[in-house]
Amino acid sequence: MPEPASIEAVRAAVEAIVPATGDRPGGADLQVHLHVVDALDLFLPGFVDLAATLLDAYAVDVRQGASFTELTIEERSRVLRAMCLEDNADMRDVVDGLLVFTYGGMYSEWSGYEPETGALQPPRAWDALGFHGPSDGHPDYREPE
Amino acid sequence: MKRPDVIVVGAGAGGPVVAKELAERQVKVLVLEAGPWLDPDVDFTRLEDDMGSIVDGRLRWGPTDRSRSPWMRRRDGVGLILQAAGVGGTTLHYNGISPRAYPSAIDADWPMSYEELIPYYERVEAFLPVRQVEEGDLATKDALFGMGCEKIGLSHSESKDVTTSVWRRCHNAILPVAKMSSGRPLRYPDVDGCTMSGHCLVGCRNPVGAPLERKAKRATNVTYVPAAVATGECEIVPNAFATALIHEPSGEGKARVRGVRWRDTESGETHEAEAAVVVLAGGSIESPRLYLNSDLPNEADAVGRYLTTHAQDLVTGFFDREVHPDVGQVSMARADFPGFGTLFTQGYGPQSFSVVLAGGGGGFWDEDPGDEPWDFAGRWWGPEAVTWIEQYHRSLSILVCTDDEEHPDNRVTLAGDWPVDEHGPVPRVAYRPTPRSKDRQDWLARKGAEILRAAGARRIHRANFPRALLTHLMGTMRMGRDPGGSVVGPTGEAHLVDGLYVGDSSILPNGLGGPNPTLTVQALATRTADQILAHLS
Repeated sequence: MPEPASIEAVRAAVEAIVPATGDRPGGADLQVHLHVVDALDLFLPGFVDLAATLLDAYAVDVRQGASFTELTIEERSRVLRAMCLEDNADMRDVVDGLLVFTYGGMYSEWSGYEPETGALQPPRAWDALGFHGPSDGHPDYREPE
Repeated sequence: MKRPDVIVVGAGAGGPVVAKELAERQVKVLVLEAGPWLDPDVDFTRLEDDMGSIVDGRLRWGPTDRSRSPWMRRRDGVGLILQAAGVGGTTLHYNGISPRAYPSAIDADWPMSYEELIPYYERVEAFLPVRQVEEGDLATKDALFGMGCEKIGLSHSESKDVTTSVWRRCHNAILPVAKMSSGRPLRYPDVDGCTMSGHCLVGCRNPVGAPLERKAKRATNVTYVPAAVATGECEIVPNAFATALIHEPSGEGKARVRGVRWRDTESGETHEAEAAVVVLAGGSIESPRLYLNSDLPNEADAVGRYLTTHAQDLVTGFFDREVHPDVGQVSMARADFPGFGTLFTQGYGPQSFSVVLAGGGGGFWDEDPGDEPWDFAGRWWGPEAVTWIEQYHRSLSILVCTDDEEHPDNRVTLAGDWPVDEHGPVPRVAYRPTPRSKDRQDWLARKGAEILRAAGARRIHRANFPRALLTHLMGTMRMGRDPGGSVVGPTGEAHLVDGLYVGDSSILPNGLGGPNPTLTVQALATRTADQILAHLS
């Protein structure tokens, strides 16, 4: 299991990647960081702690003495950007993992799906996206111009 | 099954073709599949993450028990590898697009002519079946694409054999669009055919209630597999991960294959079976891995080389009108540019869309694209990214498939510097596009942007993946006449291993010029089955 501090670091990253906008909840409000943590930890046990260590290491370059979770949203964004610029496969896996699984958790069914029962409450994000969700078919498949 | 005549390793795009073709002619075939055997009506939830997550989705590359980690590959220059374990393999989540290769690509590098391949194409096209999307059946995204192509002067073609730049309605292994009307139940037999639900990528089970033979998307789990089993001569064993090819020396540095050892991924038990012929059909990563893990002759170090991928990328346009990229077959229109590659529409759900638009590209949205025809590229996050992702319903993405130049250093080897897994040394997958491939990819991305702009897109984004997206994996066990630069000969049998054939995409000598590889893999597998029959008799 990842360290609680590592989970907090992931939550802080999710908060910067998909912030709340207007009356729409952000990724952290929907607990998307738990999806990110589960995915990274299953992909490679220990990966979450590694990601948190790197986030903290780059946070120091943005504000001396600060951990990643102590940074403002704007400062966290600068950390992510700096990490994206590294030409290193492991670093790219960390950044890609944070972004891909945050977006994945936010815009897939994850926040409204109960795997045990199969019950689906369509996520609010789908309304904003105009996504139909699972469908038996679309008889009116051509949009009027 | 009593001693089989042939063992096929892998039940993806190609393996079941070999199995069906042989079993229909009274050859006993045992098919080993590493992943599960899913029931579309029960297991295909049509949910993007539940089905498609590379970590724990039902269509991932990993064991049936989704609480266990996926099977690892050491990646070098590679970002994402999209392969599915399970009966049906990667056809479970392919688009169903089934074009033929460009004739120029076959005639340039293959040990056979395009003309020689045509009868095999025709057999597969008739069986699946493959049908061109009918005029008037294009979904909005595809109609927009076609309009853009017309406006930039591309002529329209109905042909399967492409020698010049054209746009076409896709030839898909998807049943024709069903007759549907609003308010009527979308259930078989009231509807028979494709219901345009947009679920090709996440595993389609529509029409609801249809038997396997009338499922719209013609993945091998609903076509070749049931046909092979129905002969009574073919047994499919899921959760069977092949770990070694059993062989013996046959003189002059060669070997003769005798059978296969596999591990039950659920019980952990090891099994073996013997057969006169073994067919590798585990895909372009696992086929060379199995060969290399079996200590078979590899004198020229040819095994695993010449991995090609189509150097894929995506460009996305945003329109002032509704597009709904989740509606329709995910790809219904394409443009072909022999010498460069191909472009086709790519519908998908919002998870994939958000990752393509903001999560995985190279560079950042706020960087000046200079003279390029897109407005922004790469990745982003924060409030602006959320705003653009919410434009999903007005977006159209085009997938770039490059005529990828083959190079010996793009290859699969064993990752000697990584821990082994329960199936032996794990594969290392190394790929970087050559400068020529990168130039072609850039050319195609610009052409895609031109089509989008002509169709009315007001803003255009390019993903510009910094590491390769691997969905079309080809080569690594390539066919050729020269044992120094290929692994199998023109019959599909390994140069150095008697009785060992290849029936998957690893046999392809090149990237076909850019078209999607599944149909060509299946045509070659049909041909290889004929060759095996001759071998056995």
